Amino acid sequence: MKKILIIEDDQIVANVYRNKLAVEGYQTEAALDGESGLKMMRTFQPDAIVLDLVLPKMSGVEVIKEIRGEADFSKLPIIVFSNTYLTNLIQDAWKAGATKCVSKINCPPRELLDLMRRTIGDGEAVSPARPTTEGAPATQPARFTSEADAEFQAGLQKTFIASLPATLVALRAGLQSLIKSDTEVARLKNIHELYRRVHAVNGNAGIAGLVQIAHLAAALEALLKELYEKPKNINTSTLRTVAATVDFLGFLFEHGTRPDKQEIPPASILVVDDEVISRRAIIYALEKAQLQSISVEDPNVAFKLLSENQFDLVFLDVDMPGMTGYELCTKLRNLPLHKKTPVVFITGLTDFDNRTSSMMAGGNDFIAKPFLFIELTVKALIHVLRGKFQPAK
Amino acid sequence: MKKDPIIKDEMTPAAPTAPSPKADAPAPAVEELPVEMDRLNDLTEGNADSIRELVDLFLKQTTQQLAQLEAAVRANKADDVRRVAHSCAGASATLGMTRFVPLLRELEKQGASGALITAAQVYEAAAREFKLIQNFLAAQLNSAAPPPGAAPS
Repeated sequence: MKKILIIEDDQIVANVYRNKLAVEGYQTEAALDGESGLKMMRTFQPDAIVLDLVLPKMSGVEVIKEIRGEADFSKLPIIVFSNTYLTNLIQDAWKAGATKCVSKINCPPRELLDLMRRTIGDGEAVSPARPTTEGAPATQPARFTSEADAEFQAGLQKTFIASLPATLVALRAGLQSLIKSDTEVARLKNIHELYRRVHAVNGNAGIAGLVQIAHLAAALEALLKELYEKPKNINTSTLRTVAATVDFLGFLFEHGTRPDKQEIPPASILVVDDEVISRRAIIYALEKAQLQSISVEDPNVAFKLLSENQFDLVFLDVDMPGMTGYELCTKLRNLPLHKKTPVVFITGLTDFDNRTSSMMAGGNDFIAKPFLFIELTVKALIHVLRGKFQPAK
Repeated sequence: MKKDPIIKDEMTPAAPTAPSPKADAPAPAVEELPVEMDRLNDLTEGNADSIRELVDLFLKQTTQQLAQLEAAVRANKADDVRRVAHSCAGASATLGMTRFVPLLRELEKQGASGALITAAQVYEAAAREFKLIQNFLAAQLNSAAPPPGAAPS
């Protein structure tokens, strides 16, 4: 029987994957942190490892390095679960010797199973029986029929959705603690705690197949990781973005579990900035969420585009020659197509007067240069997803 | 936009990073580097070719902007000083030029006030800082360059 070791700190996620793999005839074991995972690997002698990159005590990348350093395991397939917004972490995992990197956002158990078959082959043939979604590995493994598979997935989703009210209470409590932190040490501790909670939401929503929730949680997880690792970026803007994201996650918990809300919708985004490097940074931040955009440097060209096309979101620089971002925003609000299109101003001008000008011109949001790339990504995701819940224009 | 969960398994060339101090070396005084390489690395996802291209673009654009700033300061054209300094500060902040940005912000501020009181001195300091940035980036890019004869990435 082929053996698979799962190293994953979220017991629910680990058990769901164990269950799925066990009923398909694989022998599985799970470890909740890197150190115990390495110990278990030496005794269990797996044919493959499934590894979460974000682990307590020892990071997933460190675990890969340890594994690759041992002659017996230097070629062992290691399937890594990661957050697509943590691009540097994924790069580190490749460099350390990961065999495959899989996005947690859209990897329900069926996807992992298919990948495992392609990597190490089938599990052993077993007698039919239905799997459970209770979290414990099945004792009598059985192959899934597609009907049973759908039932299994629906069970996972139902369990996850039932847990959402309690999850939201915990997220809001974590956010309150963060906002009320009165020392730098307390603030960092609270950011880390919120980060761990959001990491769990990402993983659980991913296996439940709730893509929009998983996406937003993954982006927020990456933002919180950045704030934890570079505390100088903790400021009013980033904390406001964190709070807005928790708030919108609450909205998605209520409205984003419908079957038609399980993809990131295609969106049309316009970026207007007269400076090429800033435009590039905005486009890069949008691409992190697979959001495509059109960028222009001339506000007059932008106005023409806006006059003729529908956009889901507009990013505007403020200080541009010929027409300021505020002037362009005022003009676009007079266009029938863009009375309610979200507009985010991006500028180095962060004083109160400019915030007031932003609102008076009809802007919806504000981000200050130099922005964190992931902060802009999170803002864009919120505006795009929220826009898709509005009635058609 | 449904997506395959498998993340592309492409390796990119190693990114340039600031040299790390040796473990047994005495702790140096904390000094802010002219360029926060993390931002450049993040923006390019650590791809050495992309970093090189972006650095070339920045150096070319900033060289032109500094020439415009110098001319505007000499001609006492406050609004031109404000406009060019603003644009240059935006790009520099985006790429993590941490010591350069405050000088440009000061020029922008003086330009906006219409009184270029110490603009000439601030411009000189900015030009000196830009030289340091050029040297720093050249050293970083050279340290990341493949050895002669190595296969292109």
